[in-house]
Amino acid sequence: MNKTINMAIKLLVICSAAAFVLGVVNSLTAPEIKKLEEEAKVKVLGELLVKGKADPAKEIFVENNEYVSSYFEIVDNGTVIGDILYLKAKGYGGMMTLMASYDSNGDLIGSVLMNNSETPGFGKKAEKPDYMNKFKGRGSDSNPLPLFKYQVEEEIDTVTGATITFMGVSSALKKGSDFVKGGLK
Amino acid sequence: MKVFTKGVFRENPVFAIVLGLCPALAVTSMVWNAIGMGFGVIFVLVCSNLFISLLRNYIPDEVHIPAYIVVIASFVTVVELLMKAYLPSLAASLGIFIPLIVVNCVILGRAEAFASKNGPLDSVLDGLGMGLGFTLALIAISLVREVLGAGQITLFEQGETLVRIKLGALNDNPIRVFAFPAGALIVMGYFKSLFDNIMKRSK
Repeated sequence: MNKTINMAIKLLVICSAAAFVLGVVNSLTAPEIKKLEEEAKVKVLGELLVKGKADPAKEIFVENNEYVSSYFEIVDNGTVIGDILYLKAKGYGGMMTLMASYDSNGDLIGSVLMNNSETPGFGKKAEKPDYMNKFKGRGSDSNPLPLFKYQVEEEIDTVTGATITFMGVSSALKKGSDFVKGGLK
Repeated sequence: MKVFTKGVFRENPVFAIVLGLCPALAVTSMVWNAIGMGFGVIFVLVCSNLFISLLRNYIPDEVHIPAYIVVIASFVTVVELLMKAYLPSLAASLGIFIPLIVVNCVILGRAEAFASKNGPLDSVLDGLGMGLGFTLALIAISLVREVLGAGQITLFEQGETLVRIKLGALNDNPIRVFAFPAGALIVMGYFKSLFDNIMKRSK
């Protein structure tokens, strides 16, 4: 009995010490990581615009939506011409986040893969602009976004071997388009 | 000194004792990934060896594996957080393989086989040697794979800075299989037999 308690206490001491160290490191790095994320968000927000402006400070949060976590309005001369969505998607290595801009018809203007833990050399390729260009300009009812790989005709080999990543990206972009078409609901 | 050098060659973790093959096969599609992974492993290996060696008389025998895993996982998390904060590009390109350092057999293997029986100084040297041996093995595999599989050598990548050597004709028509896991196994097999051969002759 005493031996078991002794073991448990020693393990507890080791775990507590480890937790304490991690807490300290986390408190040091968390603001730094947050800052990098915010910077990336503002930078991407600028890249996703073709015309008009989106104010990084005016982030509108969406609740109870599986894919869309928040959005920004694109304003051109006082009128709203589209939206930039902050999307969540399921990848091979867990959750991924995307930012995508749509015009009011739900056509995709541009998209960027943000945080992800995809496999280097495979799913990670989705970070490259070429990958996202396949989705560009699609989304309206007459030209829907591709949901499966075979719907992307050109340069199939650039997406070979990362089906789950592709499905995650494509379904999130499609849900985003539906969200815009459905009047941001 | 002998403790340090044996990890690099005679007891090379990848080619001689065949440990830690997961990352050796997985991240070696690019030289820069192999370098980043190698340094992450060296850090975790040295720190965990040091602490496990210091705690070796304190940790009860019955629960030594959970205790080692807690120590190792803590250092891996430290590496992950630091990389995400200060080397975001490397963290992004290694992705899932940073947290997976926890289950790298080299680290638990050295904790079990060496650090739990030896003093702190020897354990640190063993960690350094083994880590270096692991890194060199990864670089060797990735060099062959990236040259044949993509026709290029990526030495550094962080944000806008990119050091990449492109190799003309091979870059246009790479031997694709080497970029895939099957290619990793082929390269690994050849390296292993080459290594065994050299070892046999040196005896």
